[in-house]
Amino acid sequence: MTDGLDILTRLVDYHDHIAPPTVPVADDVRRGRRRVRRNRGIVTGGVALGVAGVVLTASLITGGDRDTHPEPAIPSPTATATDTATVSTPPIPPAPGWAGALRTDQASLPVLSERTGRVDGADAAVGWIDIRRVYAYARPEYRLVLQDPPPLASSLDPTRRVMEHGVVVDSDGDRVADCRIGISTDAPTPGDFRVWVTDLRAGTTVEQIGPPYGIPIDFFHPAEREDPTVESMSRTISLFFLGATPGARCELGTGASFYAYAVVMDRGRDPEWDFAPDAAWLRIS
Amino acid sequence: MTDEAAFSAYVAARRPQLFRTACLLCGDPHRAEDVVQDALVRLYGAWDRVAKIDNIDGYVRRIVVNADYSDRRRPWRRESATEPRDVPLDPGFPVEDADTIRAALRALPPGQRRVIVLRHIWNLTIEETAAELGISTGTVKSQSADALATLRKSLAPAFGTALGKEGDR
Repeated sequence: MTDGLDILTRLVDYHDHIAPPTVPVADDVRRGRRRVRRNRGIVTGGVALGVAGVVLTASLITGGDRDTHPEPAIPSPTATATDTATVSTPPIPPAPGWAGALRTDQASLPVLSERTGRVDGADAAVGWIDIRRVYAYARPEYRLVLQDPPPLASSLDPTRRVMEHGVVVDSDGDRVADCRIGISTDAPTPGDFRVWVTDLRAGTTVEQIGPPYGIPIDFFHPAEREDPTVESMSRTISLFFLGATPGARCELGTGASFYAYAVVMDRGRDPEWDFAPDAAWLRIS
Repeated sequence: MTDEAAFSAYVAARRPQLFRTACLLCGDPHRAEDVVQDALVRLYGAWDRVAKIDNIDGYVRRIVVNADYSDRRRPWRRESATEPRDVPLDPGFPVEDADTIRAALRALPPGQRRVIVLRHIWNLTIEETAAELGISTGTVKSQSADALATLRKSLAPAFGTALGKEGDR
């Protein structure tokens, strides 16, 4: 046996002894379905925008009945986005011990470029709310990489402990938060999630508690696994938002800025927080 | 068999291997799991198309390799925010040996690591490896040789002097 082969033998032996996590196939199927559904939503949204553009152009050219009122940009607070997603006020239905405003000094926060600001230090005592990296994609998708994999949502009793992750967006560049997108385990049934979009300007929230998810946001969350015997190894939370949810405006275009946050609350008190970046906005470019 | 059933069967059969490969490429089990999840999500979306071709493995393998590759190309991801975690191992495999091999792999440039994984773990030919990575066969050979030389140098102190000789190319 040559030494080259000996090296390769050891390498293959090491490879063969790596113990893969036991991940239910159903998890991969569910993630795949989500992605397909989201992609269809993007296509449908694009077509709808195109049609709306054509209709708008036609109406401008042909004129219109002055007495016909356009649809409001923000539906009334009683509007319903879907059968199960609801618009409500006040803007943030409180999680246990919710601490109110995330940051009080938003106006003074500088804006960082994405490249310098994406990495956040290890600065939270609880690893699964310690955000280490954040990404924003034009799709639009936000991705939060945590220090440690979060516990299964089904293992958390929402009356005792709630974890929450999200992003706060400044749509118009004035360094004041305009909307918030979040996901938490603050749902009546352990294992379910509450997802929501809050329009901080209008004071409206569109939320979904428990499945079916997809509106107002879709997500991949490593705490979602169904099998309690399986330990998740993933540390990445992905939030997908099409930006067209009736009742909660949230523009995410170029020029917008955002920061990510995470919080864990025990019995509604003593929340442990993390912000990424710690004191700045990240510009979406 | 329905499309979803076929996808499930494929995932059940291939996921462990994909994870192991991703571990070798990334050196971190958490990132490896992310890469595999991402690859399988993409595979699900393309299953109708991919299931009609013979080489599903090749398609997925390319996604995994590219996911790791594109991760590294993005400037902000070159920063290492956390220390890589220990790769989980079957009982009985010496932890010290695993640490040594993992460190040696991490010391390889990403291109050489990809060549080693494709050539010697997935057992692709030189031509297949070159086609997969979009490089010439000569580059595959030279990167393979350089990688083996580096591995030999890194592993020799732990695994004995026999590895110190020049050899296989």
